[in-house]
Amino acid sequence: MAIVELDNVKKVYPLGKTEVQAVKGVSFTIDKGDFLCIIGPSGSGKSTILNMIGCIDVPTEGRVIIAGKDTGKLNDFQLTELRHQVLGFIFQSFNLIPVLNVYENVEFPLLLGKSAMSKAERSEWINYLIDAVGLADWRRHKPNELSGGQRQRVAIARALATKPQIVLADEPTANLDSKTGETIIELMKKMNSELHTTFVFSTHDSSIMAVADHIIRLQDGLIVENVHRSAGGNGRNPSEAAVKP
Amino acid sequence: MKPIVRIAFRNTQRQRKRSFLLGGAIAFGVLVITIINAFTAGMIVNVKNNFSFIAGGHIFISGKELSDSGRVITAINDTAIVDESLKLVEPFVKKVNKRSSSLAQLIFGSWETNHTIEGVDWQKEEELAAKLVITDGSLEGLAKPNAMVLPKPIARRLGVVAGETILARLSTITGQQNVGEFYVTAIVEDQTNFGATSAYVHLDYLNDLLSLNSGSYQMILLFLHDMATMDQVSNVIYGYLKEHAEVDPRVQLDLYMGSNKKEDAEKEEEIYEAERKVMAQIFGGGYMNDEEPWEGTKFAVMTLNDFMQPVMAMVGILNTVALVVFLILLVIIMVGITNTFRMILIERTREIGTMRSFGMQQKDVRNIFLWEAVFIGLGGALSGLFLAWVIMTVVGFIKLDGYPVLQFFMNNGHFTFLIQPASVIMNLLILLVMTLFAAYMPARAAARLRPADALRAHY
Repeated sequence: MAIVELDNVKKVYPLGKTEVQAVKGVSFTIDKGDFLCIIGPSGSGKSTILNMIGCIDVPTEGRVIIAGKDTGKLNDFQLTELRHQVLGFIFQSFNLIPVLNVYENVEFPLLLGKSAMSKAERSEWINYLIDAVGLADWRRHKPNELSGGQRQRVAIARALATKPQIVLADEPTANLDSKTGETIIELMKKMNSELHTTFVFSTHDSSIMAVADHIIRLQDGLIVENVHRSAGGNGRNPSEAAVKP
Repeated sequence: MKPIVRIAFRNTQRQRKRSFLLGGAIAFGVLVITIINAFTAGMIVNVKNNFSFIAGGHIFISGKELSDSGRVITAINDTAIVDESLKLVEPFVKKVNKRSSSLAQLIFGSWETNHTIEGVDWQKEEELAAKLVITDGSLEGLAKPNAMVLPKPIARRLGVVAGETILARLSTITGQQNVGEFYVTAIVEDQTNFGATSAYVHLDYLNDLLSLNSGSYQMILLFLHDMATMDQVSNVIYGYLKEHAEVDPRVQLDLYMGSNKKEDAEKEEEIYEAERKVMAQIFGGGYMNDEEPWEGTKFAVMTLNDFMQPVMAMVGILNTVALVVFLILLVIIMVGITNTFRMILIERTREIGTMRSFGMQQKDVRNIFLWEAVFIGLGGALSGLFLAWVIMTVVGFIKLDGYPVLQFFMNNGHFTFLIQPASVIMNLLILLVMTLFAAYMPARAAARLRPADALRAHY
C-alpha cells in the first residue's frame, strides 16, 4: 500500500534572474514499510525530493501525496501538523537542540502537539527508544558531550518518538566514520523491521544501498532507475525487478 | 514547564556573556528609576514629617470671630464644637496640640523685620525641640518664660546672636498695639528653605501678649497615627464644622504630581484667595475682611498636603526627569535587544528549521524568541531591583550630619527610601512591553522562515 505518492513532480528554484529546475517531472510511490534509498550525484534532486516528501517544501508542479493527503492543498499550519503526525527526520549533521539533553531531545517532538500518550507512557516510550539506540547511560547528557555516532543515535530515537509512519534521513551517515555509519544503518534497519516504519534515505553510502529494499537513482532531476527488491535482500544484485522509467 | 518556555529559558544561558550584558543594561535602568522613585517618595514623607513638627501637626483648625466693632479676631472661643468634631475622629488622632501665632515686628537695635511668632507648649511638643537644628545657643534657656527660638535668616537680618534680647511689636486680638521682650535662647536653621520656620516662643507668654481669654486658643493642631488618613480625617472634621458653624471654603488643592484640577482662571483666583486667607489666619498674617458678617466662630481647616505644593512640584519634576532618563535608557537597550535577537535569528536558523520540521508551529517559534526576551528582561529587572535595594539599604544606614539644609529632607540625618509597589510594577510593565516590542520583529522573522530554507542555512 503506497504511503507516499509523487505524481509528475517538478520543482523550480529561482536563482538570481534565472531559474534552476531541480526536479523535472518525477513519479513514483513508496510502500508502507519500505527501506528506500534515493541515490544520485550532487545536484540530481535527492534533497529536493526528500524535502517535498517531508512537507518542508512544496512542488512547483505535480502532486505529492503523503498518507493520503495532497500537500499542495495544505496551508503552513496543516503541513506542520502533518509533519508532526506522520513524519520523522534524521539529518546529516544531526541537528539536535543543543540546550536539551538526550532525554529531552527525544521527548521534544512529543511535546509539540496533542499526544495520546500519558506522561508515564511517554516516559516509558522515550526510555525504550533511548535503550534501543544504546544510550541508556547518556540520558542526561547534552549533545555537545556526545560523539558523532551517539548524536546520530539520539537523532534516530527522536525521529521515531512520535511513532511516525515515515522517517526521512538525509545522508545520515555522511558525517560518521564507516564503522559508526554501519552500526547506525543496522539500527535503522532494526527499527524498520520492528516498528514497520518506512525509511526514506538520500545517500551516497553504499552500505545503506546494500540493505535497501527499494532504490531510486536520480540524474539531472529525473529518475533513471527505480528498483524494488524483496525484503531482506542483500543488494548484491539490485537490477532484479528493476523498473526503468 | 512547556517545552518552548524551557527552551527559551535555556537559550538565555547559551551566550552567557551576551545575556549578562543585555540583562545588565536593563538592570541599570531599573536600578536608576527605582532609586529615584523610592528616594523622592521617602523624601515626601520626611518633608511632611519634619514640616508637621515645625507646623505642629498634620491637620490645622483655626477660628476667627467678629468683634462688635466688625474687626476680625483670630481665636477659637467656641471650643465645644471643635471638641465634638474631634470625637468623631478620635481613633485616628495621636496627639492634639494648641498654638497661637501672630505676625510681629521684631526689633533689635536699629534693625527690624516682620516674621511670624508661634506660641508653643514646649512640654507637649518635645518632637519639635528634637527636630530643630540649632546653629547657636541651646534650648536650655527655654526655662525662661520669655525665651525665643529664632530662625537663622531672621537672626542674620537682625544681627542678633543667642543670649541677646529682642523686642516684638504685635497686635492683640482686639487690635491694640503691644510690645514684648524676648530672650533669644537658640538660633535654628530654616529647614523649610522657604521661610516657613516661625520664631517659637512659650504659648502662655504669647497668649498674654495677644490678650487671649483664658481657655481659648487660636489654632488646634492634630497629629495623626497615619499621615495617609490626613485628607479623610480633615474631611470628617470639616463636614461636622460646616454643619454646626460657619466655615471658610476649603483650599481644595490637588497638589500631587502637578495634577492640578483648576479649571479656569476665575477658579484659580478664587482658590488663591482662599489659600491666602487661611495661610494668613494660621501663620498670623493680616488681611482685609471683605466677607459678609457672621455669628460666632468661623472655622478654617487645612492639612499638611495644602502646604506641600513646592515640594510636590519639585518631586514631580524629579520623577518626570527620572522617567525620561529611564525611557531613553530603555530605547537604547531596546535597540541592543533588537540587534541581539537578529543575530540570534541568524545563529539559530538551522535549529529553527529542525524544530519546524518536527512539527513546531510558527507561533511557537515566535514565542520562543519572545519568552527568551521576557526572561532576559525579567532577570535584568529583578537584578536591578535587588541592587537598588542593596544600595538603598546601605545609603539609608549612613548618617549625614553637617548638612543642615538637607536635614529637612531626611529622617534624623538618614535618607529614607520608600519603595512604592505601584511605581515598581508600572516600570516593570513598561520594561516588559518595550522588551517584547524590541524582540517582536526578529521573532516574527524567525517564525516566518521556510523550514526548507532554514535547514539549508550554513551558519
